[in-house]
Amino acid sequence: MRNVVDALSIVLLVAAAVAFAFGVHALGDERDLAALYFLVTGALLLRSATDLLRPKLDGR
Amino acid sequence: MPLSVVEREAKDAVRRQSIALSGLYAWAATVLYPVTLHGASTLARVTAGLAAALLGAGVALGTRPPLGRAFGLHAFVGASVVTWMLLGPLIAPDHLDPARAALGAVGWMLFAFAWGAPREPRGVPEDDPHFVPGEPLPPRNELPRRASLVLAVATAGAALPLALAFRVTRTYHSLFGHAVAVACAVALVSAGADIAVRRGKWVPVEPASRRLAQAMVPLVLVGMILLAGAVALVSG
Repeated sequence: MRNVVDALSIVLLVAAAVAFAFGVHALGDERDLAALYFLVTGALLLRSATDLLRPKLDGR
Repeated sequence: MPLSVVEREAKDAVRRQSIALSGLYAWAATVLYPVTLHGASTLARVTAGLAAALLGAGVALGTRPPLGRAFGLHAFVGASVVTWMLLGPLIAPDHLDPARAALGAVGWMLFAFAWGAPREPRGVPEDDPHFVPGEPLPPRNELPRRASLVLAVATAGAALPLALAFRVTRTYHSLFGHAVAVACAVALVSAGADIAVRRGKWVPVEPASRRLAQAMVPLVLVGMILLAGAVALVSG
């Protein structure tokens, strides 16, 4: 289970990078709404990846 | 093996020559050339000459003492910047020759490298005059496993939006595109570095299902936004 969650967090990090790339790409194609969609998705994916990989702080 | 005095002096001489040559080249390509154009002010020509004199003084004073560095690096770059500010529209992007600008950038890069202080191929820490003898200090901690992989993924991912931002050609959107790309890159690298490096200082969350629970809110939001995107795609 632990390895699966580790792998999922890496996948989410990669997905966030891809979503950011799609967002900037869409901005270049003058698809502003799609760009906003992908950038917001990327931010949420990045936050998910961080929360999954970030172990609990010591003492908390 | 510690370097002899003669070797040190030889290396210092080579370094000073590298600084002088790269600095002179960068100055000639990016400062001297525009001040020779018609329309350059006298003050700009004076500051350009001052920049060259400061470079020469810095090289003559040496690379190690603070005064040499102050003249040859900080004052030289400062005088060059003042010259560019005084030149104004003469160095506007539409007046620049791309090849000359690229060569000038290479010159400044070489100048920066020449001022850098990489470790000598045969140098050892004991060569430093401020070296304090004693037992080597052991590292307090080690990088967690797979830290390099996480950081490499984040760094490679950060390069994508930075490169794609150059596709944004609309006048008002291009700057926004670059700003968004930089923000995305910074977020990716920061998150990647944070995850990669600091993991070793934290207590792992067990069982792993608790990690899913602590990321539940953003995961649910991701699910919702992906669902909304799929619905919008299907409905056309």
